[in-house]
Amino acid sequence: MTRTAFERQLIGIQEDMLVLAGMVESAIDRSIQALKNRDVELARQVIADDLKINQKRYDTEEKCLELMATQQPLASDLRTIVSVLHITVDLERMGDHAEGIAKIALMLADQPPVKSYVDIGRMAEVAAGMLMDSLEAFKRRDTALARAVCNRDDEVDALYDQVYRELLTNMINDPRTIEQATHLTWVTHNLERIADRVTNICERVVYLVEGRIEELNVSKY
Amino acid sequence: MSVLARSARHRRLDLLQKGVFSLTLLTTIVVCVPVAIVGGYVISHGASAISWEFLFSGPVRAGREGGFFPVVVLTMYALLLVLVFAVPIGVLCAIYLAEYAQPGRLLRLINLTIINLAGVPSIVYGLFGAALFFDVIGTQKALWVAAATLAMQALAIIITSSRESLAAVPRGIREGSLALGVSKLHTTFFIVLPQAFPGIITGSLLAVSRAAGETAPILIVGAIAATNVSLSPGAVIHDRPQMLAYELYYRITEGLGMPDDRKWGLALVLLAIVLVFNISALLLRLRIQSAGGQRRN
Amino acid sequence: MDGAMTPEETAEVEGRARPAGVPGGSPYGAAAAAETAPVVLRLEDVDVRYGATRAVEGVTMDIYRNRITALIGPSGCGKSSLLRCLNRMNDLIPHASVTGRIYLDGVDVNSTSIDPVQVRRNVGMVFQKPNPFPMSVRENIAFGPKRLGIGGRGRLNEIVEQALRSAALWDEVKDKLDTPGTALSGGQQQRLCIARVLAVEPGIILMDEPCSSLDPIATLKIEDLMRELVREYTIVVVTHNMQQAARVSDYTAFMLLTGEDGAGELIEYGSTSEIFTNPRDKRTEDYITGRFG
Repeated sequence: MTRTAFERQLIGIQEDMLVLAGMVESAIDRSIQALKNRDVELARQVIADDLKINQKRYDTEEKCLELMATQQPLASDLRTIVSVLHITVDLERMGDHAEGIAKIALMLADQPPVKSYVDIGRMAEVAAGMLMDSLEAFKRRDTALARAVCNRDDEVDALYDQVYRELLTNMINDPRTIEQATHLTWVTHNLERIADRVTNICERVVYLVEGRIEELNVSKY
Repeated sequence: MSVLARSARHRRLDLLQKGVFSLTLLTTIVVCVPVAIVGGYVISHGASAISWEFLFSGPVRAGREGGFFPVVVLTMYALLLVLVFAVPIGVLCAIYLAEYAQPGRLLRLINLTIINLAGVPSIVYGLFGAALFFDVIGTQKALWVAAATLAMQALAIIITSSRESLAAVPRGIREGSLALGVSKLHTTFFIVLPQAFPGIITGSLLAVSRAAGETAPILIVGAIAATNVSLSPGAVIHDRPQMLAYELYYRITEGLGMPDDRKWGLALVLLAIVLVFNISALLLRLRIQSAGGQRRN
Repeated sequence: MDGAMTPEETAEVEGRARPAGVPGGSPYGAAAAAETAPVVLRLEDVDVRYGATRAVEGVTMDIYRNRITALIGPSGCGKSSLLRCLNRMNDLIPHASVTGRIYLDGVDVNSTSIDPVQVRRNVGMVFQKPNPFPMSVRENIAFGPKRLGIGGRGRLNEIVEQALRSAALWDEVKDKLDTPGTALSGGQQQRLCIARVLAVEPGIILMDEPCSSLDPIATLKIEDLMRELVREYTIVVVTHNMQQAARVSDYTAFMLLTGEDGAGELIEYGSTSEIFTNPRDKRTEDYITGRFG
């Protein structure tokens, strides 16, 4: 097999991307944890760790550029590197959204919860699950799995609408809850954006395998 | 020991290198010296005989006095005939062999045959020429026969050296011309031949100068012709081929007591003719090569 | 070369639009749906044999006008042999035989009734190693036209200047037209050879690894020249250098030795962007990404 050094480097950037994904998953989990448990320390940790996520993205990006400049990749190699570049951007943005949730957790930490966080928790679970599966699809180059993951975005969107309506009702009934309710709306918004970004990742997987971009996130709404 | 220090092995190699170098230098000297000696000897012994009379007047008292003008003229005349016969035929033949013939066993056989012909002893050529022209064709003109015989001998050399010169023209140039849509004929005559020209000229002149020195063919042709010939002065010139080399041989062996310095003089003239041919070949070649890249009209 | 091009063709050539590929379908005649340029050379079932050995097998493909088509593939896969069919240069090799049909503007130039010299006037060739004649620059370029019967010093000088300008060499040699062609640098010599070909006004220019013996800067100059020339000519180039094929060509054909008899076959042929980002055949992908062996 020729180009072993290149192969190693190619595998290397994909592994870096998976590590970044792990960091983002953890950030999502912990930020929701911090929100539910009003854990200030945890929230601060997540916020601090976002810097590491950003750094990891830039490091991976640099390696991708270096690979393109020095190895002149073509065909599937080129698509792989380009996909990694795009996906790391999406991951880093997801990290930002998780950081946003953590910041809100800090703000709401000293107040009792105005509604149960069951639905928000459910949203987070689905979104995190989607993230894990999309990267699994990338690892296995599995386009069927990628498409299936995209369909779950509808569930997240449905939950988003439901929580939004509930919070709205709460705000109308008891104006003292408006501040907290609006913050919670932002949390769901962040989660919804995270799920959206995952569909981008799935589109990249299809591009990587089939060589063309296909819109996978046609919303039913 | 530092990297630059010279090991014993290096010193041995150095010595070997110097030894081989000296050997090659020595052999060069060994080759050049006899040529210089012979040349010097001929010049010193024959120079005294050279005079205007020697070169430009006819023989008196069977060559003991007077000059050898007729012989010199005939020699040049014969060599010119050789040039005119052998060079065009030889070059055209070489062009066919190098450019047009299909490679294969037949071609290799032909080439081999021609190379061998160049090595056939000149006396055999003489015999063959005499037989062909006197017996088979029945001509009487001995001078022409002598020239034709010499031409045959020169032909083999001219064909071989011309073929080599043509083959030495890089293939890329031929392809470059053909790829422009230029026909093979034009490519051969306007691209390949001009580039091979220096080699062809050199080969031809060398072949002719070699013919200048051949005694054997003349001997045979002359001997056979002599039996049929009358002794009138005109007939002597036209019917008995007289060429310098043969003349020299004749004079040396006849034992009639021609003064030595005149014999050396003859040798000197012959040497001078050959030298002139060879130097012309060299100069012509140099001039063509330097003009090769320049504008030609 | 008639200069008539439809407005669409003009726009496409000017805008350097790369024709989009049509996914799926046979390896041959790719992107036909999106390509507006006419077919100038059509190969049908072309075989090349040297004696008993078959070097190229069953090649069928179309070459489009005013496009650069690249032939790539590993050493010995028959790309040069195939290229030489297009201007009947294989006729010069003893025991070489070319079967199949090669239609140049509708006429089968591979038939014995066609004079190869005529073909070569219309299909010029530039070789791997620059081969300027041992004459002056001017004489090099005027050689072709002169041999074709064009005379008159004024007319010839015009032709020489025009050819040198088209080959992007005029400025560098206009003061030394009478110096030997062999005194130029490698890159200049190659452009001289290109100018020489342009002087006889062929419609198609074949290039057999034209940059192999040149340094990188000279190579880039030749590549730029190719993109300039393709506005007026059709170019087919054989290259070992994949990045060069990717940079310069509109269409790429990939050849490979297959089978026990080791004949070169056309594996895949399509638009360059397709071949280099998403090739259909795995063998193409392996070659392009360097995963051979």
